[in-house]
Order: sequence, then structure tokens, then C-alpha cells
Amino acid sequence: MSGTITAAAASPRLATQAANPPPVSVPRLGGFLLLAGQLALLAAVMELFRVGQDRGPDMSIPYLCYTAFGLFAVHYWLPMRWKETFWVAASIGAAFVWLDWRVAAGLLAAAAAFFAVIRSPLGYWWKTGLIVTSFAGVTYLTLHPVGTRNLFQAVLGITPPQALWVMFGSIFMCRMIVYMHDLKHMKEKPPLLGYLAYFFLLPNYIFPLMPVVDYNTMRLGYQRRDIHEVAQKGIHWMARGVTQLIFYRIAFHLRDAVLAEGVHSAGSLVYYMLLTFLLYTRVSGQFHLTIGMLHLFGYDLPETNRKYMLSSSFTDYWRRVNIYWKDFMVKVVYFPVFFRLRKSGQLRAKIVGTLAVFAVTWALHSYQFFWLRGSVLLHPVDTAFWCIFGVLVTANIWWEHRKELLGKRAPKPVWWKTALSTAGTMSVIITLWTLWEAPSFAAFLDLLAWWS
Amino acid sequence: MATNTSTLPAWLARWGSDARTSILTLAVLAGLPLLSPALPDGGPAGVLRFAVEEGRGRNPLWWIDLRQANTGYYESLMSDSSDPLVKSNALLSRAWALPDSPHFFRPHPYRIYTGEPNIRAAVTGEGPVSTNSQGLFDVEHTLAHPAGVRRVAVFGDSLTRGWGVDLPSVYPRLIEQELNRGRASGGGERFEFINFSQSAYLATQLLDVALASAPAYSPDVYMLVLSELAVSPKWSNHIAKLVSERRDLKYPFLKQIVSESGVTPKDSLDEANRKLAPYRLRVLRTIVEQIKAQADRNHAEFMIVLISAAEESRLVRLRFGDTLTMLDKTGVPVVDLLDTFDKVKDIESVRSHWYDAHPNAQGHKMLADNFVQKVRSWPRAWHTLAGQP
Repeated sequence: MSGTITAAAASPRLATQAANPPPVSVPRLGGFLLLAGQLALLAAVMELFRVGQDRGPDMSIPYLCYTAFGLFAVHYWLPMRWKETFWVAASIGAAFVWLDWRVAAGLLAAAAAFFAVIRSPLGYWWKTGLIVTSFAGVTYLTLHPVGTRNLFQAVLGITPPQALWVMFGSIFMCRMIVYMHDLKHMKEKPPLLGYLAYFFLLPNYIFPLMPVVDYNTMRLGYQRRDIHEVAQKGIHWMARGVTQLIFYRIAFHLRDAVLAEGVHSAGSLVYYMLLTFLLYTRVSGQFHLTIGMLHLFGYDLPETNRKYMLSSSFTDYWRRVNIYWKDFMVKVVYFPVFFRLRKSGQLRAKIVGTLAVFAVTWALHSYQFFWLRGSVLLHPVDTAFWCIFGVLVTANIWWEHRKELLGKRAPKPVWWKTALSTAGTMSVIITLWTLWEAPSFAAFLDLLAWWS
Repeated sequence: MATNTSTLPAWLARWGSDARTSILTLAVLAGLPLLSPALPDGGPAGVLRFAVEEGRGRNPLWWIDLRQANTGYYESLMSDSSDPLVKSNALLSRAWALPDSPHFFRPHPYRIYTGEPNIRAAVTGEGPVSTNSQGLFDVEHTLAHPAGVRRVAVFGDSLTRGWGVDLPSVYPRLIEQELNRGRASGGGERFEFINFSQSAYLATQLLDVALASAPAYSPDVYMLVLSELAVSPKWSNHIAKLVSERRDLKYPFLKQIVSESGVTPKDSLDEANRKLAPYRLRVLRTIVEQIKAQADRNHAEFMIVLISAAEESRLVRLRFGDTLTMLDKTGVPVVDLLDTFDKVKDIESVRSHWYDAHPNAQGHKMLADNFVQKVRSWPRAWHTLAGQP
């Protein structure tokens, strides 16, 4: 976890860029055609492979992509001062087109109410208390659907669809935590446009599970580099995301075939466990697709997942998989705990900070499950997964700290040692992932004891 | 992609490595579906062809979801619940609420739901839908048994109900027509197939239909149609739901099994299914025995039909595995239609949609033809169905 201090939300590159005026991206036909051509090719690939159309008559993912590509074609040529306004207007407008109007109106009303609190002259902790109370209120409403419907019908004459609570949670559940954290350090009044751009992200309506975009990173990176470079990076990641979504389908089917044939040997067990782990490509594929899409509109956001299959240690894995979550935890949990405890010992501060991160991760994953699925996730398997993972990462950090103290220089990497440590790390991670996927400990043990 | 750009043509070198990688990746991906039909089946090229076909969704996720439990944090989080109140994709929840979709079902204390009578819906999320005055997805049938008619009561799920096709194209109707065509020239009783099938009905629900609803029509033959739902990990969803909602399990053998398995109302669906998993064969065998006993009491015949959706038959047969052996031992004639789509090269041509392995009209015709051909060539099955050698 110590290596992640410098990888926190505000990277040196972005901090330097913040101090310098951004370059002016000059639209040029050749550059636009190169980008548009790739988007057309991406659309063709999505059509040929029917990406995102698997589950019933659901064209939402293709519609999202084609809409984003169309908006890009307009956004590219707009003057700089109109770009973000256009993007925000389009994102909010899309909510009214794609979602039930009651859902879109409800989200807008919630955003307006939150912003009113945020811009009020109240002290920071009063604002935080009000936001937390409103979340508690919405939680109460979701847990009492009949009463809620009656209340809305009596007061407003309309009933809120279930999708409103799902989208409310999806948009505000984690990003509000980040925003309120950054609000504490904001020197000027929070800008409305930045607020709306942060919460109303176009891909979010189709992907309720979104990476936890960091507000500061989003603002610092906005239109800071030439749009051609940023958009090209976005297309690169969208291509990667689509490839991973196609791969996910193959892994899903192969795993289904293993279930039909039965796990009857050590080899088929390993094969099944590997395929189970590779189902994560659905998450990483969608994350690459959504963040890549935001790049088209000038948001120079960092990578979400980076070659996690090549992790050579548990801390390395933690730093490579769902990087946005890791940065979120570092910012909101690790730094506050570490800096508070640092005087009592670096190692102690790191260990307590890391354990706190995993405790909060466990809790927030359950919290996220509640908002998106409507039920609280309190399952011993899930708890065991986070406990074991947390202990492994903490042990890794202790080991790294010990080597630092002993003054051992990092040896020159030897390829076979790296390969061995990667194989060992990923073997443990894959086993742990299989546990996380099992409906119970008994089912996990049944699977491992294939010979019985 | 670390490339020495000085070796590249100038126009290519001007593009960054991201552009080159993206264009190459997308060009290869775009080309593969166009080239793969020309690839041979075996060897590395065959593997590539398989990967492309699977990547395009030959075994679509939606269909696999119907029979597989979505366990695991992310799979549970990101998969759409079948409960319309809980949609993780807000747009999907809107897309499914098509403007003219009526309610197809009404509540039932044991079966959870049963068909709503007199529906005439031309356009719905699943194709044309119509029900008769009794809530069956079928034409009208009199309760009184007409003279000179051999009544066959058919119990199945959405495959037999005819999801995605109109009534005249559903395979029980086609079987009836084909058999009656033969009868018209050769004499004998006319066949009348009464389709009691309902979408997503599991064996425990079909049992109740056979014992509680079918006798009113005095059928001569009870035909139980089993699909992959009977052998999937979700075969016990109905029992789990009865327990979790504290409904009456109704049948003593079910109460016994629930007691033995230790399923409680607090168990999640997945945990309940896991506890009930060891009882699958026993439950199915008891269901077969009870329907057989009912048929015997009413001096009727009983037969079982196995059908598959339009998907890879090798895997379907693997899933049925031990069930086939168990059914053979019951003494009930079993007509095996699992090979219906074996020889179809382009499986999507017999599906209602590429992502939906319910057979289309052509698929139903194949099922009907296969059934008639098998029954006519198997004297015992013919005797059971037709009541004559």
C-alpha cells in the first residue's frame, strides 16, 4: 500500500498540468476523420459481435455507444467554452430519453437538493450531516416500497419506479463520498457545471456499476491535453473493453460447458477456477468502455485496470485491479488513518491503514450491492473473501516494509523469479476468487474435493 | 506497443502507438466474423472459428442465465433479476415495459402464477401471445370429452408453450395436425392435444397441473415434457420460493424433502437450491410416479418426452445425464427428442432470436416431425399415444 501513496488521485503529471495553462486543441479535419473512422470501426465490431445485446431485446449498450459517437462528432467542433455545457446538457437529456421520465426527474431533483445544501452557507459538517441524513431517508424509502408508493402518490400524484432508487444509488452512492471529501479542500465555491458533469455521466445510465471516478482527477484532467491524444487513448481503451466483453462471453460459455461435464479431475478444477476468475473481464471490459468513452469528451482520466493477470504480489494485484477503487480507498480511508497514526510508527500506520481499507471495502461493497440489487449483502463467504484478501495484502506490506528497514535494495528483476511469483500470486488470487463466487463454504469445499 | 517509428512509413508514424494498436485490433476483430465461416472445424483454425462463433454469442448469455445460478459478487450484481421490481439496468426495466404488454399471469397459491384468460396480444416482449378462456396458451377446448377423440394433455414449460411463435406453429398443435392427417385416411380416433404448458414451469409445478387441472378434461394420455429446466441448478427454484414465502408445499413428499434438506425461509435462493440439489432425482422420480398413478386411476396412459431448446445438443445430453437412466427405470415410455437440432449447422436459423434458444416456427416443425417419426417407429410409444397397436 505504501507504493500507492504517490499513485493517489492527484498525480504529479496532473498537478504540473494544473499549474500550466492547457493547450488549445485545434480541430482539424484529418484528426477528426482518423478518430471518427476508428469509432465507425468500433461500431462495426460491436454490431458484428452483437456486443451488449445478449440479454433479451436490450440494445442499451449499442445505443449508448452510438449516441456517444454521435455526440463526439458535434462536441469535437464546438468552441471550447461550449464543450462542457453541451456535454452536460446531452448527458442530462439522455436521462430523459433513455430512462423513465420519473427516474430522470427524480435524479435531477435529488442533484438539485444536494447542490443546494453544498452551496449553502452551512458549515462543512452540517452539510455532511444533511447529506448523510438524506441518504438514510432514501434508504428508508427503498426498504418500505408500499409506503413509499403511497406517500409519493399522495404528495405528488405519481409513483416512483424501482429504477429510481437503483439509479440514485448508482450515481450518488460512492461519488457523493468523494465529492464531499474534496469539498472540504475546495478553495472556491463548488461550480455547478463541474458538479453536474461529475454526477451525470452518460454511460452511467446503462452501466449502474461504474468505476468510482475521482472529482479532482476529473477536473484537473479536463481538456488539459490535446483532444486528439486524449480521444485516441479513449478509443484505445474502448477497443480493449470491447475485446474483453467478447472474451467474457467465451469464458462464460466454456465455464457453463465445464459445469455440464462436471469437475472430475484436478485439471478440470483448475480450468473451472481460471474461467471463474476470467468472468471479471465483464467488469474490466465495461470499465474500459465507460472511461474510454469519457475521454472522447476531453476527460483525461486514468486507466481502470492494468494487466492484473500479471500481478507478482498481493499488493501488486491490489494496485492493478479496479485502480479507481484503490485510489478511492487511499484518498478517503488510508491517507486519513496513515497520517493520524504515522507518529506512532510507520509500519503500524501502514498496517492499520490497510486493514481499515479492507474493512471499509467490505462494507462499501455490501452498501453498493444494496443500492444496485435492493438487498443487503451480509454473507459469510463475502466477509471471508475480504478478510483473507486484506490479511494477504497487509502481510505483503509488512514484508515490503521489513525489506526496506533491512536496507535491502530491490534486486534486478530476474525473469523466472518474476514468473514464479506471478504464478504463485495468481494461483492464490484465483482460488480466493472461486471462494467469492461460491454460494457457500460447503459448495466451495465440494468443488475443491472433486474426487468425492 | 513499443515500435521503432523510424522504420514505419511517415503517414503511419504520425499516428501514435495507441492509434495503431486500436486500428489493428478493431480491423482484426471486424475481419474475423467475415472469415470464420470459411475456416475448417478442426485444428487451430477450428479453435479460432469456435472462439469467433462463441464470441458472437452462439450460446447466448441470456439463455445460460436461465438455467445457471448467478453466484459471485459481480455476476449477482450485474445480472438482471427475473423479478421485474429489481432491475440493475434501469434502461432495461423501461425497455421491457412495452406499451401493449398485458399481464399474462394471475397468482396461484401453489404454482405461484398461472395463465390469465382471454389474452390477445400481437406484439409483446416474447412475440405473439394468446390464451383461451381457461388461461391456457392454446385454442379453446371443451371440458367434456368429445366422442371419437383421443385427448392428450401436454405439460411443459415455455418451449412447449410456444414462446415466440404463434399458436398454430407450436409443436403439440403440429403433432396433432400430422397425426390427424394420417387418421383421416386410415380411420381411428381423432387426436386432440390440450396444451397446459406455462413459461418457466418446473417439474413440481407441472405435477400440480397434471393432478389438479388436467383431470377436468378427462385426458386419455398424460404427456409430461421435460426440458433442461428439469435438470438445471434452478430445478428447485419453485420449492425454494414456496418455502421462502411460507406457502403450503401441498404434497407430502415435498414437505418430507424440505424437512430432510433443512431448507428454511431465511435461506437465499442459491443456498436453498444447494441444499435441495441432492434430492433432484428423487423429486423427479416421485413426480413421475404420482402422475403415473393419476393416469392409472383415470384409466389413461402416461408418457414422457424430452426436448431441448435450439442449442448445442452435446451439452444438453450431458446435463440430462443421470436423469435419463432414472427415467428408463420408471417403466414409463420416454420419447427422446434431444437430438432434434443435432444436424442443424446454423443453430440460429431455428431460434426465435439469436440470443434466445426458444425454437422458432421452423424449430417447432422439426420437433413435431421428430416426435411423430419416433413415436410411429416405436410400437410401445405408439400404443401409449394412440391406444392401439
